[in-house]
Parts: sequence; C-alpha cells; structure tokens
Amino acid sequence: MMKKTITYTFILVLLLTLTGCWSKRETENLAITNAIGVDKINSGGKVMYKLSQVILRPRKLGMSSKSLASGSEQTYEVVESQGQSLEEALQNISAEIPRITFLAHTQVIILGQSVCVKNLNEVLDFLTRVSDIRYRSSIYVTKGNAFEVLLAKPAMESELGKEIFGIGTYGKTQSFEVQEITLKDFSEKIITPGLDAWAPVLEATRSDKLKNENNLKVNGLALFKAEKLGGWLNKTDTQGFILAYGEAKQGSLTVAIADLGQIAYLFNKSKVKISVQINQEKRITADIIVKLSGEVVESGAYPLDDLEDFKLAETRLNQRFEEQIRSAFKQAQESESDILGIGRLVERQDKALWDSIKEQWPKMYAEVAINVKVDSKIIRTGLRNKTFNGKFIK
Amino acid sequence: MLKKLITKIPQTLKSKTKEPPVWSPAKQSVTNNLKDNMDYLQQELANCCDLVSRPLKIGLDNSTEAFIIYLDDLVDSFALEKTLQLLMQGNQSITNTIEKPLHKVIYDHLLTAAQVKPLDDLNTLIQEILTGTLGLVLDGETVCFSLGIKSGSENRPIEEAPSEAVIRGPRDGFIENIRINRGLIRRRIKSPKLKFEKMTIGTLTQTQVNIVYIEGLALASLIQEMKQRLERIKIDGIIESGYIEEFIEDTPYSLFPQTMVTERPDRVAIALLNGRVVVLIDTTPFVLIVPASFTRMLEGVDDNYVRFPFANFSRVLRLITLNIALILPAFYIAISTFHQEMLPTKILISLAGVREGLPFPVLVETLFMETTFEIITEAGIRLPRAVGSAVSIVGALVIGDAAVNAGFASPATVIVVAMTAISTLTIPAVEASRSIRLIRFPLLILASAFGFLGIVIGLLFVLIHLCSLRSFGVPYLDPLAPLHLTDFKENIFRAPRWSLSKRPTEVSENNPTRQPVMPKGKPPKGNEE
Amino acid sequence: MLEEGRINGRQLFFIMFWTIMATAILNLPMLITRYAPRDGWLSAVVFIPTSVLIVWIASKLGAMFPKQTLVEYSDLVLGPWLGKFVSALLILWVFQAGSIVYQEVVGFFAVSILPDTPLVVLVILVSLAPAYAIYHGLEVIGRSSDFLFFIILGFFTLIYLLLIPEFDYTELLPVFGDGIGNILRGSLTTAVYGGELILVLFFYPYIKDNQKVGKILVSTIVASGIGGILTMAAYTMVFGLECNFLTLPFYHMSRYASIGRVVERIDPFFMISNFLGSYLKLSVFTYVIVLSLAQLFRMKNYRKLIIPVILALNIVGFYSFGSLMQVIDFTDKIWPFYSLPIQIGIPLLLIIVAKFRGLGYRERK
Repeated sequence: MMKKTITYTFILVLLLTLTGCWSKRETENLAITNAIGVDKINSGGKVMYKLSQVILRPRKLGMSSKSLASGSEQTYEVVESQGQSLEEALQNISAEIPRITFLAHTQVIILGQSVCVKNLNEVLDFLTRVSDIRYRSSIYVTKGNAFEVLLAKPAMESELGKEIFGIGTYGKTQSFEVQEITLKDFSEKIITPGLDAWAPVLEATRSDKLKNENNLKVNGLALFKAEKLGGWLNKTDTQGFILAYGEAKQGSLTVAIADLGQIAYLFNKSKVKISVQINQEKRITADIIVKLSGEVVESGAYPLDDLEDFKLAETRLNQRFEEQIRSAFKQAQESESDILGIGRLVERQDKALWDSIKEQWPKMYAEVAINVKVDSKIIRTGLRNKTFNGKFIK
Repeated sequence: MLKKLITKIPQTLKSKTKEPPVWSPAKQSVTNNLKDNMDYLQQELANCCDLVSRPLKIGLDNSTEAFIIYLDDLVDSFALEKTLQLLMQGNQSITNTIEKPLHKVIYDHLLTAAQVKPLDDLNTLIQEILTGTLGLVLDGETVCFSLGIKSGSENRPIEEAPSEAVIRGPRDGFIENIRINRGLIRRRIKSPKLKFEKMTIGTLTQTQVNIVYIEGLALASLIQEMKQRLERIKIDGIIESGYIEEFIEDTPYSLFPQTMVTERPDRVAIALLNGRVVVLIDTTPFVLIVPASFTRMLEGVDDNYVRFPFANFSRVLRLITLNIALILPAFYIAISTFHQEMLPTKILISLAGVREGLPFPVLVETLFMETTFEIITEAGIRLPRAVGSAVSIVGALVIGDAAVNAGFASPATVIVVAMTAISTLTIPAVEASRSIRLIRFPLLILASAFGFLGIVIGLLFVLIHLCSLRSFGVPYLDPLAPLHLTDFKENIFRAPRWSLSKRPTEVSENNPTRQPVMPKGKPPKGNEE
Repeated sequence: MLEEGRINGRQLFFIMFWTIMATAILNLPMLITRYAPRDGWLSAVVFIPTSVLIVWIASKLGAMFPKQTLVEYSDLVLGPWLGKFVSALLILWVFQAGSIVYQEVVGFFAVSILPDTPLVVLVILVSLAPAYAIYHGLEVIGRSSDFLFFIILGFFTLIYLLLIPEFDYTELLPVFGDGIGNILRGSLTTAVYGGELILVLFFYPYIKDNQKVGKILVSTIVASGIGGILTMAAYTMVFGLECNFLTLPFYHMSRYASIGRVVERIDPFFMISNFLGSYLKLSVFTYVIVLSLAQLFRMKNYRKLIIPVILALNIVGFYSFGSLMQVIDFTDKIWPFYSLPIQIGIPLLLIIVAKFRGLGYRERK
C-alpha cells in the first residue's frame, strides 16, 4: 500500500514539474486595453472592420510624472488594426505588439457611426461572446469614426479610457444631459421587443486654444431602431428623455419667467411613473408623470419675495420640462425608436394584445399619444432668500 | 532503475526488528548472607563513581549488621545523615522479641524516612537506588529496604514558559522535575478526584510518566486507551515528550499534531476540568494533552482570562492571520498571473509598472523571498541572545531592501512575504504553525500552475485530510465538522463566562454541566443612594 | 461491513443540497430559459412538487429496509437474478449521470478559467479530491460537507447580494406570459436533478437515525427549490431576455457583480464555490458507484475500485460526447425522458413487490 501511494504521488509530482503552466500570464507581459473603438471602413476596395485600442504603458516605479509632461502619449498608445471580422482584427494586432492582448480591463467601447448603421449585430456578438470584455463597459456612439475620437487628448486624466469613463460616471450624477449605458443593458435593449436601445454620443471638439488639441465631450444621444441607427437627440431632448426615463439624479434648468427675469432650478430628487392606457379602439396612450423636488440656485433679477412668485416659477418650469419631454418623444417617434419602453408596458398590461401587434409595433409606435405632466417643487432657496437686486430700497 | 528506487524507499521506512534491551533483569532474591548481597550489588553497579556504600550496625543492641548503598548525586545528604543517625543510635527500649522478625521491628520503629519500601528482589533495589533512594540491606534477613530521601536536586527556578507568553494570567511554567510539576497541578485542582497514575517507560531511561485525569470527568475509555497505548511502547529511552507523542498518535505521518503540547500548568488545569487526559513526563517541561482538536491550536490561554469582547477580537484576528499565513503568497501569485481581471485597473497598472524590469517570474521571486525568510526565522532561534534581534532585523531589512534595489524582487513581493512571516508567528500553537509553514510551499506551486483552482484543490486536500484525522476518538475538526453548534460558544467564540455552563461535548459526555445557570454580574436592585 | 463510518441527518442535508445545486447552477438555467425565458422561476417552483414526489417514493422504500442498501435488498425482494439485474441497471444509470457530471464540471473549468490546459490535467485536478475523500469513507465526506456547506453558501450569497442593486423586477412581468406548457417543459430536466436524491438509497444504512431521512430529503428539495427560484429570478431580473443567449448563467452573473465598481469580475469566487460544490457532488456519485459495485461483487474492500471507476467515468464521458453542446443537448432532449421513469419506476417496483411478498420493515401499530 505504501509503495502504491508513493508511486502515485511521485507520478503526480512529476506531472506538475513537466508541465508548463498553460494559462499563465505574467503582469509585465500584458497589453492592457482601456478603451476600444469599432469602425467599418473602406480599405482598398474591401469593407473591413477597424479596431482601435487604447493600450496602457505602465510606468516604471520612481519615475516622476514631470518627465512625462511632454505628452500623455507616453502613458498610452492607440493601436489600430483591420480585419474582416473583429476577431481577425484582434489577431492582426499580435503581429505588431510585443505583448499579450488583454481586453478585460476595457471600460469604454466606442461604436462608430458606420458600424451602427449596418453591422451592430456582428459587433455585439463579438463583444459578448469573447470571454474577456466586461459586461459593465460603457457604450458610446460617435457621429463619425471612432478612431478619430480616440486621437483626442484627455484633459485631466492620464489615460483616455479613464477620461471617458469618468465623464460618464461623474457626469451622470451631476447633470441630466449625460447618461451611461452598460454593454449588458445595451444588448438587452436591442433584443427585447418593445424596447429600443440608446447610447450617449461622444465627440471630439476642436478647442479654440492655441494648443490645437481635441477635447472630448458627450453631446446628446443616439437612438436605435432594432439594431440599426435610428436618429439623434440633441442636448435639450436628451435632458427630456433622461428625465422621463427616471434616471436623472440631478439636473438644472434655467427658465425665463415672463419679463421679470430668469431663475436656475436644481433638482436632486425625481420620481417618474409611466403607464399605458389602452382604450376601446386599441389606441394606446402613454401617461408620463414626473415629480421633481429641488431648490433655486440662481436668480437673475427675478424677485423671490412671496409665495406667489414661487408658484409662477414652478408653473414655468413645468412648462419647460414638459416641452423637453414632448420634443424628445416626438424625435424618438420619428426615428421609430421606442426608447421609453412603451411596448414593454403594453406587454405587461395586456399580453394577448401585444402578441397580436408586436410585428407592427415600430409603425404603431409613431401613433402613440402621450400625456406629460411634470410637477416640480421648489422646496428651498439655498442660502439667500431675496434676490440680489442692487441697492436695498425699503 | 526507477523501479529499484521506488522499491527501495518503502524498505527503509519499514521498522527494524526489535533488538533485545540491554538490561533485562530477572529476579534476584535477597539472601540471608550479607556478604553475598553486598557483592552482588557492588558488582552490578561497578564502575559507577557516584556509588557510595558502607556497612553499619543497627542500633538495637548493636548486633545487627547492615549495609547502606546509595548514589551520591541524587540523595539529600542532610536527610541521609539524619536517618543514619537514628538508625545507628536506635531506640534502646525496643528489644528484639521472637514473635516479630527483625526487619519488621526495624520497619516499625527505626526507619524514620516517610517513604519506605520493603523489597525482596535485589534488582528492584538497584532500580530504586537509581531513582535516588537509600538502600538498606540487613544481615540475616531476606527483606531489604529502600528509603525515599530524594532531594530536589538543583532545579531551574519556576519562571514563565518561554514558548507561551501571555498578557494576563499566571506566570509559572513547568520545569524538568516531575514532582514539582505535579505540585503545580495539585495547587490548582485540590480534589481527591484528581488522579496521577504512574508508569515507567523506556528500558534504559526508566522515565517516569504520569497519566493525569479527573476521575468522573474524563471518559474511562479514554484513560484506558491512553494506558494501553503507553504500555505498548517498547523503546530503550524516552528523552522528551515528543518521543511519546509519536507513539501514541492515531495517524503519525500526518502533518498535523494530534496531541496538544504545553508548558503551562493553567492550560493543563483548564484541560483537566474539561475532561481531558494529560501526560506528564519526567525531565521535560512539555506535557501532552489529549484529545486535541484543530480549533485548540488557534487558542491562546489568555482568551479565557481576558474579557470576552477582546478575547473574541483576538480570536478573529488569529483566524485572519491563519488565513494570511497559509494563503497570501499563493493568492498573490494566482491573482497576478491568472486572474488579473479581478484587480482594479489602477492596481494592475502599478503592479505591471513595478514588475517592468524584473528578470524572474513571480513564482521564482516569491519562492526566493520565502526561503530567505524561513532561513532568517530558523537562524533567529539559534542566535545568541545578545546578537539575536539585531542580526535578524538587519538581516531582514537588508536582504529585503537589497533584493528590491538590485532588481531581484519587487516591493509587492517583499510586502507579501513579510506579512506572511509575521502572521505565521501569531499562531499560538508552535506545532500548528510549523504545519502551516510546510503547507504553504506546495500551495505556492499549485497556485502558480493552476491559479485559484490550484489553491482550492490544495486546501481541499488539506481539509479532507483534517476531516479524516482523529485524536483518540475525537474528530479533529470538532466542532466545525461534525457540526456541534452548541460547542461554538467555547471553541470558536468565547462567550461570556456566565453563559458557559456546559462543558464541551467532544470529551465530556460524562458530566456535561459545570454549574447550573451561573449568575451574571448585575447591579444590586433597589436603593442606589 | 464495507463502510464503518456514519453520517447524521444534518450532514446528509448538506451533502445532498450541494449535490443538486452544484451543477444545477451551471447549465440548468439555460435549459429552462430555452422554453420559458421570462418565467424560468416558475419552472423552478414546479420543480418542488415533482421532486418531492420522487423523493417520497424513494424514502418510503428506504424506510422499509432501513438496515440495507438497495443493492442488498433488491436481491431479497426480486430474487437473485432479477434483483442483480435491477441493481445493475440502476448502477449503470448512476454511472451515466456521473459521467455527464464529470463532463459538465470539466467543461465549465475549461471555458472559464483554464482554457489552455489540456483536458487530461483538468480531469486529474477535478478527480483527485473526490478520490481522496472516498478513500477515507463516507464519514469524511460528511464531515467535509459540514465544514464546506456554509463556505460555499457564503460565496454564493455574496455574489447574490452584490447583484441586488441590478435587479429590475419588471423583467419578470408579465407573469405566466410564456405559457404553462413551456413552463412545465422547462421544469422537466429539473425534476431529474431532484431525482438524484435516490442515490441516498445506496447508502441508507450508514445514516444515523434513518427514520428521519424522508423528512430530511424533502427539506433538501424545498431548500434547493428555493435556491433555484431565487437564482432563476435573479437571472431574469438582471439579464432580461438576454438570458436566452448566454451559457453558464451564474457565471455571467458573477462576472457582472462588482464591489463598488472597484473590484469587478469576481468570477473566480464563483468558480471556487462551484469547485467545492462539485467536489461534494462527484464524491457522492463516485462513492455510490464504488460502494454498490463492491456490494454487487461481494468484495471486502471498495478502495481498490476507486481509481478504475473514476477513470471509467471520465473516459465514458469523453467518448459519449464530442463537445459541450452535445452534452447540453443531451440533457435537454433525451436525458429526462428515460431518467424519470428509472427514478420513479424502479423504487416503485421494489415497493410493490416487497409489499406483495410481505417483506420489509413495517411500523408496529
């Protein structure tokens, strides 16, 4: 018995030493990708995928950041490659980069317009089938080509991916014109009938300064119709949509009230309820009820003396909010993109009806009427009560 | 050739056939003739320069010849002279009547030592003399006496056990003399139920071994089992408790000890009160406590004395350090080579940056640093006290720092290894910490081959092994496996003293209640003026 | 006696709970969502009564012969030839189930963690721990389950709790939207997992207090049913309709969970807990096969059989299925349809014949 135990243990130990360690990757041999961009371009007559990656270059310890002021190119590198499929593009990079590709830290995925118009299915298939990319990566869409956006210089962070990720994460907690969507939600919305996907639009604007660099900016939303690009929302419409979607954490709106002046209102609590009414002739009406509460943070000449003034301000605010939401919804209807999920609400309420109309839903969506009602409350006025109005006259 | 190698290893492991012990005395009766007896004794103990013998006449009427024999080193000279004085001067009023034989008279009236044994076998007398008694042989009688006037001989003063220091608690520790050790236990448990059973093990060393237990608390089957196992031991010498430990364990080739070893009498007293059995061994301060379990290894004695929130806090801390000591290096290797996606990006970047110029893969680096620290630890035990701490600190710092600067190791590795080394030292039971040090290395290698899966497989193996271990019938991982939730109060956490009214069930099915419903401390009711 | 160790009821619960859940979590949700994408959790609800039925029959049979294993008393009940045949049939079924389990587990680790490692090495890694545990006997398996149960549960609960902020209960609506037929079809394979509890019949006499075994098994089913409902509900709530498209559902969930967006991709934790659970499951399966074969052939010691049986299980698994997709397809379309008759039919047959022949322990009134 002892002999057998020793023999077996011997064999096992030998096995361990004979083997290499197959799946092992040393940290210094990795090419850590922080952001990727996907495009479709015409190259030499053939239409190919272009994959651009932002690969980080870890600094050696002890090197101060002053020596890197020459350019933040030092901390990362944008590498591009092409191929007939995304996997092929990924493979082609390994002939250029002396490291192991490591996509697992990708935080941002940028889809160029060329891809969104036609080939979103293939791209999403690649992104979700490959075992490295996180489901939590944020998706952004550009109006041009993704690789051009990746040429921008990050204003504050050291890496491009971190910069974009930061804009999304912190932007959405501060204003309601920026919103993030993760890969999981994006792909889920694309395949669910009765719902459509949207993604924030990233653009690189040319700054007017002497440095002549590109800066990144999130501006508006891209709307999708099934898996194709449907349309765009501009900034105010985005605000309206995000408000109706219920994800606005904080946001401010400036309204001019009659001729008396203007105030800026900052809300930090919002509650949204969307419901669907189906009447006899199978007409569908959506009711959107939004409740906001916040405070006045800036008042330009608008007197805030008594409670009537506040009521007037609230009425004006409600009008503006409702306009935004209506305009957003109208734009979405024109793009046949059901971003608020009205279809899903119909399904939840009356499945039989939904099953009969689900094929024609994109067309029927354009005929959905909405009732919007916004109820914003001003509950505080910050640290001042009366408006700043020059000399104090009793 | 491989086959030869494989067959050779088991052969060397097979135990050699037992050789007959060197001195196996048969009975040698005492004869009437004094001269014969003397000759035999002196011949057996020839060439022992500490042997002293002289003839004398017993004082009744100065007519009886007798002969004393003793070993100089072991006998208390003051008590010896006193005894001799009384023997030789005697009591003139006692006469030798015909009814009582001489030796009985002497036994009844003249031998003033408290411990006297009448013997009729010279070889037994020799054994007695070797333990430090005075041998008295009478002319014309077939009975000889052995008078117990052992001295304490020079002993180490009782001081705190060097291997188990506590913050709060008694500071006496066992020493090498078994009588004094017995006294230390007796002073704590003053009950007639505390029994010490004596056995002598080792044909040449004749070491006295005591089995200690509280009758009625300890299971009779446990005591019986212990006796049987000790009687089975046939060896020429027992020098330390470690020899006995290896004989009585259930699974001797396991990495984990199945008996607890301690130098502290308070720990022994607590164990006895819980129904365990203790083995004292002469000439060593380390005693064995049986049965043992794994959770006891993590327990320091002062957990019982300190207030219960702090006791639990230090237990939790010790559990964390156990995990760190066992897993941290392997975890570090696994995460940095297999599972980089788990790390936050910032850490990964700094890790990659730090490792930029290093020549070795993580495994080699970690093994190198680990081995270095093990060497330093081992050297630290043997260094003379004056130089000890300075050399070890400087050694660790210098080696660690120099390694980083020379580009052999990364600071992350040095941190990991240092934390592991410190954590190993916080484990209270020295034996268990050695086991953990040994297990750490295979885990490292497994982790570098298979990542987290390797670590889990290694730990699972250790777990299965621990699950199969028994210490004298008690499962080793009790109360974790099999799960005895009521025992958690004592073993895992330490509930406040007033709620521990039941003894742990692993050993004491005999007498489960310590004391019915103990009162909590409460302020007195009523007036508070 | 081939086996001298004993396990008690609580250890039985721990072992059998993970025997069902360990691989059920791996592939089963995908099979369910094939038929009922949004109402998967309702299939898990249906799992409870169907499995309780199977378990009830089995425990009645066990209670009739509390001191013997199935192999031993099928000889008594059905006569030497038919009895051995029926035992051999059951052992073969367990063998096939076991080989599927080995395939699933090895496949899971090959996909998730160690994609480049040769399959042989993975097989050795996965099989080593169960082999060692069985070598020491049932009692060690029981004790290790005592220790491991809460650890595995802790890991799962951690992942589950981290996902709670991602839950969107609207994904579960409309309830019953997928149709009752689909729900029932989805729950068919789950019943087979519940029926694995008939393995208890093979080591019934080694359980202390085996009058309570029936109750323990039913509570195991209820507990794993609840676990299944929670898992399926979470899966649908996090992923919506996409759960139709993903393999290894809980693995995806563990990849999505994040601790404060600092530590993400905590799938190694899930992998660890799954490995420990699979160790328990594989130990039980292999132990039952080894023990029963030893009893069938009247061997004195089953230890010699351990390594051959494990090798056989793996080899049979590899040669029966060419790829992981075949395994999944098989468990979806073919496996339930002959497993359920075996799981229900054979114990029922033994009960009927035994009652007819007046054998078996009867409760004194």
